Amino acid sequence: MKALVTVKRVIDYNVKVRIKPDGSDVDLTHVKMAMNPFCEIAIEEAVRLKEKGVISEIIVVSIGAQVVQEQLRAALAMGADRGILIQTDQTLGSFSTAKILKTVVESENPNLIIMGKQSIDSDNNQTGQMLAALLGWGQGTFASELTVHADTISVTREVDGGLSTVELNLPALVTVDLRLNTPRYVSVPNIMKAKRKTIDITALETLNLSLVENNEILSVESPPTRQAGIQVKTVDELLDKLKNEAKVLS
Amino acid sequence: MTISITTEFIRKTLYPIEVIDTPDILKQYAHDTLSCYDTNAAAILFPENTEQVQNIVQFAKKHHLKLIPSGGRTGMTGGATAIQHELIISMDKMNHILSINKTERLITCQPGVILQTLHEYVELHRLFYPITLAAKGSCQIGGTIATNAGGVHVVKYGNTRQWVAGLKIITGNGDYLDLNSRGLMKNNTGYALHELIIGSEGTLGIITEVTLRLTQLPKKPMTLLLSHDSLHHVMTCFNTTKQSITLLAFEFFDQSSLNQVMQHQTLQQPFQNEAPFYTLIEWEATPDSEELVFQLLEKGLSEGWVSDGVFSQNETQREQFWQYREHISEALRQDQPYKYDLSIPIASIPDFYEQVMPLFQQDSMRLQSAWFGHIGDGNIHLNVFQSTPNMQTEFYAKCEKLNQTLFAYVKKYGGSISAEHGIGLLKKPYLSFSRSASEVKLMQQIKTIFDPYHLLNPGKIFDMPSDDHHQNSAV
Repeated sequence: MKALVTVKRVIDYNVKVRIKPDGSDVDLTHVKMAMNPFCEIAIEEAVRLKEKGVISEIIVVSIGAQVVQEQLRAALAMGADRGILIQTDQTLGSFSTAKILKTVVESENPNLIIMGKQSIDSDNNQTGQMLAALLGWGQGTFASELTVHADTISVTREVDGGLSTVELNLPALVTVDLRLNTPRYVSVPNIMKAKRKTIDITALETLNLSLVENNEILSVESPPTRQAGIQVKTVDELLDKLKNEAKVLS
Repeated sequence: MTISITTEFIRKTLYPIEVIDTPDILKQYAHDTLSCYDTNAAAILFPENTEQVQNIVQFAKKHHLKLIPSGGRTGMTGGATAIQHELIISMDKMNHILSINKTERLITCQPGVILQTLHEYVELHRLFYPITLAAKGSCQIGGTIATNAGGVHVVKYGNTRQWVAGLKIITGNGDYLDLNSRGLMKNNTGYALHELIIGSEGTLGIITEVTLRLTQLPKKPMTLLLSHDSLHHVMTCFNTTKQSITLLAFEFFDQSSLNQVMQHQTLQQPFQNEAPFYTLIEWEATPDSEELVFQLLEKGLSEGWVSDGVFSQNETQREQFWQYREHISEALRQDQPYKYDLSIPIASIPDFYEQVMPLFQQDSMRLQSAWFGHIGDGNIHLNVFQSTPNMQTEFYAKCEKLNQTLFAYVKKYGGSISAEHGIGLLKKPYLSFSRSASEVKLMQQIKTIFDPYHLLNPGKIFDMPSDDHHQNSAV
């Protein structure tokens, strides 16, 4: 069984996000970038399925600039077999991304697509659903558990009310949630092996897709800064503030 | 002659300084992380500015009281511990950042500022204060200066001493001194007196204002965790990497330390196979550094001086790698270990280890040990503990018996009995292994000049020959 896993390069989850002085976008100069944490979970799951003998080949795909190869290399070091980069400097929305991925799926014919449920930069949570719809495949979103059978896959989904389990015919698309697994550390010997694995680079223009962006960023602002707390001297003063300033007591 | 001075009298005389003598708070402020002493602090005072500190010292001088300047109390050697009915001067309220000068890269603050608060503040200004240690969330700047704190980046940035530009202090005589507090880079006008205060453990003066040097933010760090099958291989790894890249940290720990952390933290096992030693290596990323490091590691793996390794992919993993190292001390705490903080010339560390390890394993001892620390600057934190913690007194007696042999090895290899924790009370009996009698005498004379009545942090580092024991106590 062949699996296709998608990864996205995003600002590191633990880095404090800064906004450009002109408010046009998030400032990415000299900022630590990393693989989207949900994509990392997707790779980890594929590698575990491969270790169990369920999957025979893992193809990892990303879309973006030349530097995105860093994240593809990391995925290869975690255990993916080969990489595909659709190279472009454009900023792409979810629908464009799904359309590009569809062409990759059509040429690779995987039985299973595993994706992160969303990327932590745009937080849209759309690409997986859109891609499944474009392909006409079954989708299991927000997975916290996966079991692959001969022709089907059962996906336990984290939904608002608890857990819901769906059974999908293969080929199918799964998007993963945080509790599915903990990604492994990337070992030094595996990083070295990953250097010898191939990454195929295709320029986006050569795919001849018509991509129209429907979203435009008008401005980016920081949330209002919280005011520092104060210390009150007496209980009476506290009660007074709660009543008259915070108005949480009457 | 003993005169009892009541808290009420102190409160009235030193108004508006807050004075607390509630027993549980007294107990809390009367010691650092070391809890093996019977403490007896008289009261805690919370001054808010230099003038109030001066008033306290004048008051203590007049009434023959002893004082302990006290910061975040994260020390490991009893340096802030009250066992002579001292008044504790807490810097908790002197916690304001006063100014930052971006042109000269200087920051001026009060001594009670928490180290982490300072880090966050300067980073907002795109600058960096490089001294950092495991206790950064609770230790105070004044304390880091009084102990010349080192921490994890000494291998690149040196100790606190390198970053203190100037100080304002109140001496034990109650005098106010401005010691290059303007932070001049060049000021060759006689003795650099502020240098004496750094690392003096509160025995010469009370720091009331601090001017620190800052530097540019480091480039993105890259972090590796490696396993090794011997200390000799750790050394080869250190020597090789150091030649090729700018190290920010080179830390090590043994399997025993890792076991302790894994028992206390929900962290994933870093490696499938256990190894006797692990290193945490961090360096400043440059365009070719990653390539360079991997060439070295390839060599290391084929030559055997690296057994396995993992490479941090993001900040979350980087923090996890650091947790294996930084949580060791905390994980060991419940075993109430006997802590050594040794400096050993780096090349001699494997030999030292081989000499010392059998001391714990011998039949009369049967002690467990955890070896970890900043091996890149020769600093080893050796913690000794029992497999079943009971009979604490007997255990401490065993360790003290070992000290003579162990410190003799330290001396033999040209090391120091205290690398960064200081002497405090705990290491006082062993000072002679690292300092000559003439040196100690000179230090006592210097103390007498700064603190003629021996009011400040009495009994720490060394005892004073002329100390009479008829001082008054505040009750």
